[in-house]
Order: sequence, then C-alpha cells, then structure tokens
Amino acid sequence: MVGVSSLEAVLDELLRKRSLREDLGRRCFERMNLSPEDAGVLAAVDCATLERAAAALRREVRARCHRGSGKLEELYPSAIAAWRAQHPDDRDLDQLFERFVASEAFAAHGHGPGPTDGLRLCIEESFFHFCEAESLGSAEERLSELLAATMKALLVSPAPAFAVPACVRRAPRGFFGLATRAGSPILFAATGGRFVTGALTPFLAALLGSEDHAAVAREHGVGPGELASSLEALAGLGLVKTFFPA
Amino acid sequence: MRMPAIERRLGFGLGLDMPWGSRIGFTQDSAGRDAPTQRVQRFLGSETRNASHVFVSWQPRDRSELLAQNYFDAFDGFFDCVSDGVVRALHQTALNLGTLECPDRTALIRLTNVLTERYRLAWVNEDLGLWSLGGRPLPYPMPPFLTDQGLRAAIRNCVEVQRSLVAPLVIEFPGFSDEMSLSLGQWHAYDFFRRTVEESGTMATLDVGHLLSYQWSRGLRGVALYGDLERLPLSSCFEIHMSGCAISGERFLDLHHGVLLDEQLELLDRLIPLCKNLHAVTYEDPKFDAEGRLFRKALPNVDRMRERTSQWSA
Repeated sequence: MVGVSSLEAVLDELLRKRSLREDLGRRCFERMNLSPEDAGVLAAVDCATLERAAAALRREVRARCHRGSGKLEELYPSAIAAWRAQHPDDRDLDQLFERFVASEAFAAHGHGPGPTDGLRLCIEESFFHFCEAESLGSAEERLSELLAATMKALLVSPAPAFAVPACVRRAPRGFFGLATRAGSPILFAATGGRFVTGALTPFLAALLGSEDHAAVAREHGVGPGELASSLEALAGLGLVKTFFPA
Repeated sequence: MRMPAIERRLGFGLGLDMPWGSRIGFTQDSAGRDAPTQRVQRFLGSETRNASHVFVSWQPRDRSELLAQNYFDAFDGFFDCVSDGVVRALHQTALNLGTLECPDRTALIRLTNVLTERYRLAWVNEDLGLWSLGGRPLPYPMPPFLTDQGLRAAIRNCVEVQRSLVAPLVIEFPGFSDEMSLSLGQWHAYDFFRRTVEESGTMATLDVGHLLSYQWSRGLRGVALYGDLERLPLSSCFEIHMSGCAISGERFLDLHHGVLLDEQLELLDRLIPLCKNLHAVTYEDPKFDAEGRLFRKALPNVDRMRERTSQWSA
C-alpha cells in the first residue's frame, strides 16, 4: 500500500514519543498512517507494557557508556546543569531524556548508513543538536563539549562508521576542532592516539584554519621565523603536514 | 536444511557473552592489545577442558567501520585459551533477523565470514529478533513481529543471511521476558518460529529460558509452562541454550546471571528426547570469580545440567 508507514517505523516512534503513545491509548491511529491490518496489531498492544518499554529505552540512552567518550550527561555538564536549573523536579533527568529521544536530533543518530545513504550522526552530536534546539547552556560551552566528546569517540574509532561533525576537521594524524572560551581559541584534537586540548593563540588558530599560511602570517604581523616554528609545533602534534623549513 | 558439519553429539558446552570493558569480557592488556580479561582466561583455561564446544558472542568493539581485523587480537586471545579439540562457534548479535526492513548487512556478513574462516567456527547462532530499530540499538532484543508480514520478513532475512554466511546459520527462539519484549501480532511464537525454521531451511536453537519466558508471558504457570512443545521445530533443533533465569513475584527474568532454575532443568529433560538432531547443549553466560571459578550458587544446577547432558551424549 503506497504511502503507509511500516509497523516497524511506527513502533520505533511509539517507543520514543509520548504523544503517539497517548494516541494509541485513545485508539487514535490517524497520525500513525498505518494499514488497517497493522493498526489492528497495535490496537491489541497493552499500553502499560509499551510504557515500560519506552522507559527502558530512555534509561538505556541515559545510562549507556559509549566506548571512548562515556555517558552523555558526563559529556555535556553545562547543558545538563542548565536543564537542572530550569527543571529542578527532574532529578533523574527522565524528562530531559524523554524530550531527547522524541527529538529529530535523536532520530538522526545511529550505526552505519542512514536511510539516505550518508552515515548517521553519532549520539554525541545528536545530543549537541538537541541541546542547541533547547538552548541548553551557552553556545560556546556546547561547542567545546561537542568537540571534547567527539575527539574522545574518534580516538577509539579513528575510521568511524558515523558522520564526523562538520566542525571537526581531518588532520594528518587524526582530527581537530576549534572552539572559543571567553573569546579565546581552544583546540580539541584526537591526534597520534592522544586527546589534546588547550588554549591557542589567535595566530595558531588561524594557521589551523587556513591553507595559505604565509597570508595568515602577514595578517597577524608574524615573521618567517616565527611562522616556521609555529608550523613545526603544529606538525609535531600531527595537526598540519610535516613542516620542511625553506 | 543446512546442518553444521558435526558428526557426533557434542554434549556439554559453554557460551560467553564478551562485552568490551566488563569483568567478563574483553579489555586491553598491559601492552595495549585487546584481550579477554584475566578472569576469562582463567575460566576458559580450566573449564573448556571439560567442554565439547564453546561459543563467543560478537559485540561491536567500537563505532568504527566493521573490519574483522579489529577483532583479531581479542578473538585470538579468547580462542588461545580454549582447549584443543573443542568445537568453536559464534553467537551474532546484530543480524536483526526479525526486521521488516531490508538492512544492508554486507559489512557484518563479511566480518562474520572472515572470523568464521580464521577461527574455524562450525556455526553462527543468532536470535530471531530485533536488535535495533531505525539503526539505533535496543537495550534488549525484541521478539519479531508475530504477524503474517513479520513471518515473511523473518523467512526472507534468514534465507538471505544463510545464503551469505560461510558457516551454517542456526536461529534462536527469542526471549520474551524483558521490559522491551513487546509481543506484537497474533501468531503463537512457537508456530512462528517453527514456520521460519522450516521455510528458511535453517537449524534451530531452543533457549530454555526464552521458551519459559514466552509461556510465562502468556500467563501460564506450573506444568503448563512445558506445554506446546510439539509446536516447536523439534527435528531441526541443533542446540539448546541454558542461561541463568529467575522468577521474582509475577515476573520471569532472563537475567543471564549464571544461576539455572529447576524449571529450566525440567524443560531440558523434556526437550532432549524430543530433539532427534540435537548436537549441543550450551551453558550460556556463566558467571565466575577472579580465579575463573563458577560462583558457588550456580554450581548445583550446573552440575545437574552437566550430568543430564553427559548421559545424553554418552
């Protein structure tokens, strides 16, 4: 039947979205767009059992420790703190994770190829987009937390089966990304098998962001000697190609 | 019917789930190489001397693209600890045989086949269930859709996977006890499973805890838990799994915690004479201490299981 959702896709949504479970409780199948046969299958489902399954899924998303990076709530402390400040009653963060699993951002993550062939997001990035949409924490801190989480994930999965976030760049010996803290550039990198983070000068940050190193040096009023030593230092970290002084 | 190339009754075997980073699982050794933990090494070194076969459950190491060589260190370490002559098998956990969709399993099949050839794996076992929805993993595998469409999809999945694997696929009756175990559809799960096995030409694994969990979920208790066995694919049953279960109040729990229920032994006793092509009885997910010794609480019923299996395989 053309234009009808599959039972599997609807089950996935039912486990993630309370509003759809409420529809099912009222035996209202309109939004599910199912064939009459599949609607009949769902009509026989015990709603309390479905609710328990949905809760188990939320608990799993909250508790799952991702190899390399860890648990989401440990990776996004500022976003979690912002949520807690707004929702002091949500002590176990169940409401937060209920919103997260119901979000489009959550639906975009997964393993391997997605429905449109491109790789899916990692859950760390999907949580970042959720926090953006919910305005949790400051943009600066969110980006730092995303980069730290992604670099840790990439250290153990350097050939990832997930889409690398757009803010992450490939480097000769790994990956890096730049954020800012109080206006100053901060480096996050997974390079040479190590997680590297720390403040950068604006000049070094600009060097990492450009192919035309001479132009960056001119713009920052940096002479050839300092440019050479800077590139050598970055090459030593595996962030730019090995530097051969002229 | 594609049968594992095993000529004799194997008898008592062991199956280990090996999560990464768990005490019973894979870790990194002092040289930074993937390896089974010390307690697993001790357990395998002592217990596989008295086992006919052993399987390891595959779990993704990380979120890298699926490449078999990323698993060689860990699996080399695992099978190096297994006594010579012990038959080896693999338990897959990502084939998603219950899905209605048409997932691309190419990389997973390739990985499984490389592991099969490298470690001479005699068969690949997999639950007839859903391990993920929408490409996102579930906390516990869900049963397949017990509908006509679900049956067609399960048969198609099993046929396709069987055709692609170099080792025979043995499909396992799924569990029904977890909070995630929603039962969708009107088919009796035993009939559904039998039809899938018959029409896909695969062999079957009957997990005794999973069978009990299904009957329990239907509200059956006492001797009724052992009913309906004729509805199972008994003549295609190649392996029986026994993993730790518990009953708590009104809940049947498929805990895989190593302690077998008396009810599991009772059902094992009933199944063994009915399964004419049974080759392997496997104690799945044993739990043991740092010295590799089974926990004391598990011993009485494991000994009883071993005794029954020895009598059958003698």
